[in-house]
Amino acid sequence: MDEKKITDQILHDDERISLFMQGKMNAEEESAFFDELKKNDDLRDRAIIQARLVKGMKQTDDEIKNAFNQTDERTIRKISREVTGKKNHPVRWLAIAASVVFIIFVGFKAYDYYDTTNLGKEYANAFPVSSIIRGEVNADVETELSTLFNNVAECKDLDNTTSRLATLWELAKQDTYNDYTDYAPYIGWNLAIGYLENYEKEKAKDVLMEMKLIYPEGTAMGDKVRILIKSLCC
Amino acid sequence: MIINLYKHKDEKEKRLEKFAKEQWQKTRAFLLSRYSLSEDECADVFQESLIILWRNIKENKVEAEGLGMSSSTYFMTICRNKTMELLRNKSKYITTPYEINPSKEHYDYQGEQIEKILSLENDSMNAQKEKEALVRDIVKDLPSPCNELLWGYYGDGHSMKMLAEMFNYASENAVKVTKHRCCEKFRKRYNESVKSLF
Repeated sequence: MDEKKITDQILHDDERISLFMQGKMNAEEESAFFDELKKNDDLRDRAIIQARLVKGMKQTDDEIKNAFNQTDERTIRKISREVTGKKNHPVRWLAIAASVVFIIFVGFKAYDYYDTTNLGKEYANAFPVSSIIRGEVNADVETELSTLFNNVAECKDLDNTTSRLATLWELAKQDTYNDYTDYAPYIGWNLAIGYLENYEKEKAKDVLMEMKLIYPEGTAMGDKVRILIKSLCC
Repeated sequence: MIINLYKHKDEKEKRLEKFAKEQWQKTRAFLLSRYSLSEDECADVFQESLIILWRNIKENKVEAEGLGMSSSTYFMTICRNKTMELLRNKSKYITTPYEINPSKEHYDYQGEQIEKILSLENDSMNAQKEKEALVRDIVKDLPSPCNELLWGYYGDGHSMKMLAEMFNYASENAVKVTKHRCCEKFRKRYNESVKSLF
């Protein structure tokens, strides 16, 4: 840039150029100014530059408006999110809603877990091991059952315990008499309780429903099974 | 063909992104300092205003309501209205040092007058077109503070007083001097480009 001193006259000329471009001069002033532009090379050059600026900016702005016109809402939202670095409300509210649903789900699951496992613990001692195993028949069978039933009573090693009890429950239910037949109600009962303590509610229900069919109302096991089913379902 | 369409879309998006970035810088600074909005609130106002601008351009409302305003000025007006709406909802008492009021603060440049000045060049139609393209390239890439001042004055039609307040200049005269220097820089760059072009 030519380091020309910026005088008041120069700034005044700039203002006159603006007034001319804005059409704010009266006819006389306008005519006089236009004549001056024809004679004064520097003033004319500056006026042309400013007129070029205004026109160029107007055209550039029209390009922007045109670009807006050819764009969809999704793109505008995307651009505004990128520029501000902030996600929009629907996404934020969706995230909040998802969190609430998740918290409710986790809360419900936690409540259900607490309720189910507690129910198992509550009924774990309905038939004490000492009343089932008296050491009168098969020592090996009784030792194993005693260990398994104690595990259930104490909530110990539940995965392995329920797995073994499930096998024994199948054996005990067989029509052919075997070592486990006499213990069938207790094996079934402990299996159901083990499942409850291990939060395997559906498996516990299946076993109890089977037992309901086998042990009629009025028997000790039949009545307990029905009470437990009622507790589980309500 | 598909590649051309894709490129075209890219160019369009790039232009809008550039516009949005410039507006965000301006809007953010303005809303933070004048209305003490939070960053989140500024972003909300900006996002909603950009959608309104897009919608109004689509529905030709900018030309009808905008009184010849540039997209930038019109956008700032929307932002200001959105901010007022937000503050009203927050029941916050506010005083505004200046307002973007199109009828008071906006100066419109007359196309007829511009053409009258440009007719003094005696250029052919082709030369005019090439010079216009050249100016468009330069004005898209002006350095700061000329970008803000020249666009504010010639593009948006703001007064010197308003520009002084918007960009924290000590006085209107300081803006006049800086704007003049910016015009001279633009003139130099433009003349050099014209020389190499013709």
